[in-house]
Amino acid sequence: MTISSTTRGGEGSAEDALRLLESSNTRLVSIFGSVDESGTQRVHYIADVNREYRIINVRVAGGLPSATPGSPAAAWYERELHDEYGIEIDGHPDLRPLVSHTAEYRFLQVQGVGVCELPVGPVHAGIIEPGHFRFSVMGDSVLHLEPRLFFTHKGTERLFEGTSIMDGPALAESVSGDNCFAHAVAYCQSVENAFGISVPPRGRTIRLLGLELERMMAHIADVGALCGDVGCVVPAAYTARIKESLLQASARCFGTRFWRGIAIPGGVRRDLSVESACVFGNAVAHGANDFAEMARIILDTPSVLNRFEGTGILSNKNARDLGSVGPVARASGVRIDVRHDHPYGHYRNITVETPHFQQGDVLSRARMRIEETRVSARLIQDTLHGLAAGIISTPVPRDGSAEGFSAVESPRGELLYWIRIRNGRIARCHVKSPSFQNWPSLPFAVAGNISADFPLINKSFNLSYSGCDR
Amino acid sequence: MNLAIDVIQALMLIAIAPLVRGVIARIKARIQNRRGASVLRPYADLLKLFRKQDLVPDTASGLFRLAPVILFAVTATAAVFVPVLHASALFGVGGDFILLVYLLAFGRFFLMLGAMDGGSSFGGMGASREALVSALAEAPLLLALTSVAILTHTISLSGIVLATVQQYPLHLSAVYVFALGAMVLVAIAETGRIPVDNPATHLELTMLHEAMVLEYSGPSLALIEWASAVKLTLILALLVGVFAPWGMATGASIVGLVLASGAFALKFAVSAIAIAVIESSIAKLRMYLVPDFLGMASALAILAVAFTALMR
Repeated sequence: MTISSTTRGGEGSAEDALRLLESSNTRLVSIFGSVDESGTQRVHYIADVNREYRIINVRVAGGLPSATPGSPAAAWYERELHDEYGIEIDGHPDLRPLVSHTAEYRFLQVQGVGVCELPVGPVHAGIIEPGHFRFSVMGDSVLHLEPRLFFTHKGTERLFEGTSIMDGPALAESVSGDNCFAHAVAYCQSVENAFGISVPPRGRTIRLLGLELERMMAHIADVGALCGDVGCVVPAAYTARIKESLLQASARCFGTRFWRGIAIPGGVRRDLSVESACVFGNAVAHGANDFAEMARIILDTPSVLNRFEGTGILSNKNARDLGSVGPVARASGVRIDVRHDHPYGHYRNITVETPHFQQGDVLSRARMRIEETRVSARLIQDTLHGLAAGIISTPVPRDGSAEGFSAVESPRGELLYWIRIRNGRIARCHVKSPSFQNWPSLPFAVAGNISADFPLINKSFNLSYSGCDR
Repeated sequence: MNLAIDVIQALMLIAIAPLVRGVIARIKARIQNRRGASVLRPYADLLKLFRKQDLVPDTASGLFRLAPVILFAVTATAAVFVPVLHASALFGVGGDFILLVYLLAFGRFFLMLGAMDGGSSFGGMGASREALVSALAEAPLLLALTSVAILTHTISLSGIVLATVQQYPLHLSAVYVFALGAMVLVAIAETGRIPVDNPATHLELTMLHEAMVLEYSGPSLALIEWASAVKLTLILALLVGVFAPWGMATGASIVGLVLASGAFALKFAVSAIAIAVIESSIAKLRMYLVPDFLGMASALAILAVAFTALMR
């Protein structure tokens, strides 16, 4: 059994895991369970200790001590374990069902004169994913917000089980539709790490192109949607056009708008001709320029700034305590980026600039996305200029058995796949989606704002329901 | 003849209301570099809604179905007070501007009742927000119209329009400038346009007017949508009639009416472009800044009234 050389860790006790999580410079990455072929139940703790991933696998018989009191980021993971494996978590402050919707659920009640509860969703007025939000409001001010999600829980991790490792990417691509290439690459890297395979340089560079393009498209769409939410329709329409031009460039050069079917374990499926590289580079340059111009206009519009500035502040402390990731964390001054901290693929050969802001409001998150789009566009140009020659994929053992994990920086932040392979088939696959990590931090940004600003704050986090619910 | 024109202009106002919305939407689409839907699409929407089933929540009383009918009826009645093609209206002499203002308030009151009767939390939330906006918009609207009424020594809308149209355009007083400013701000708030409300939003928590009508469907929704289109057109016609009535026919000659129709179309086109440009260039206000926005309208309206003392 191989574990990637960059990771340390292995079997341990629950106390080891808790001690690790509570030590300084440690960030919780994921907690999940597994049952192996002999019926042994394990709980796996993955943490980032000084920019190094560590995994501790704990055999479970009966209960587990809760990590939540010392490390609040663990709360949802332990609730999920409780729901899905029936593991008793001793000392957890809140073991209400998280994923399961069968049992009765009691929302936290804010008491006091003039406090009202405002239920919103899961069916909304617009066509968006389902999520229920229970606001405790005093007038229009939000005192407390409790989200109730997992309406789109599809049991995706279970669906992976028994699938051939070569068929895994198709399922990974469907976990969160707007980040499908990041999911596919994270899945493929976990298989490659498990077998200790390295992807040929040209395959790595093509993957980088896709990852950065996906980030650009997601960020451009997010900035446009933020403007749309405050009723500023012109930037919303223009950014939609820019995103579409990038999608069409993908379709022309790679034969797929959303990069579906490109990543496979061992590399990529589709090569890029010299002419296509040129067309693609031009399209990205145009899109980036148009967006930079639009972003300048947006940031120069006082009515937009008035809505963005100081709205929905996520404090640095809350972001750290809850282990927030991605642009949300970086907008609150938490400088984490998998591309920089745990370089993978072609990122090992380059330095990635990681913009960050301190204020943690909607404006910071919008500016994060604007800055990252610029960085991504430049990474694509640099990569296209230094596109490695050679083959694009390498064979993967079809009937091996191994375990491994890998993370990528998806547009929403750290996305991790952990995989257990038995005879070329997936025995267990865990998906740590950045949305699952960031959802618990949203209520902290919303409290104290007016309920009418919630949609804007929610959009500035832009968390995936499907990716979180799986 | 006059009577016929009065009837025709009121019916025209009601009939072209969806078109005005369609034109604004089309201009906004062009500004966004989109082709946009046909200007006739609001009619198609109304037709579609009138053919659909009217769903009533289990918790609702008879009031729920009655409210849209009353809203449409009073809005249509209000349209009869506004001079459009010539400087009089069917009820223009008998009814004064105070009646017009409270006819609109009456319709809104029933819409708020209907929204709360629907039983959803958004109906109540929308109704409370609408109540806030309308309470704050009422004073500036009345004061602005009062200032013009003092100046023209009449409280009937026809009288005001007639007095203005007979003036030499450059002899208008500062009262008109302040009153126009106040009325434009009120018009934006009353008709639920950006920056006070976003008629195109799908985010229920940000809604004012749209939150109230979330529970409505089918013919009831069609009546509400049509009524709000009529209200927009009516308020535009009121602004045009009080502040820029030139081109209106003073007699009942055919030539005069044709010219008046042309002038009316032109003035409405300019208004639609103005609305579309404003809505495309600014974001919606934060909800708690809406009272400030209407406070500004009140200040302008008070200035308008104060200035009438100087204009004697």
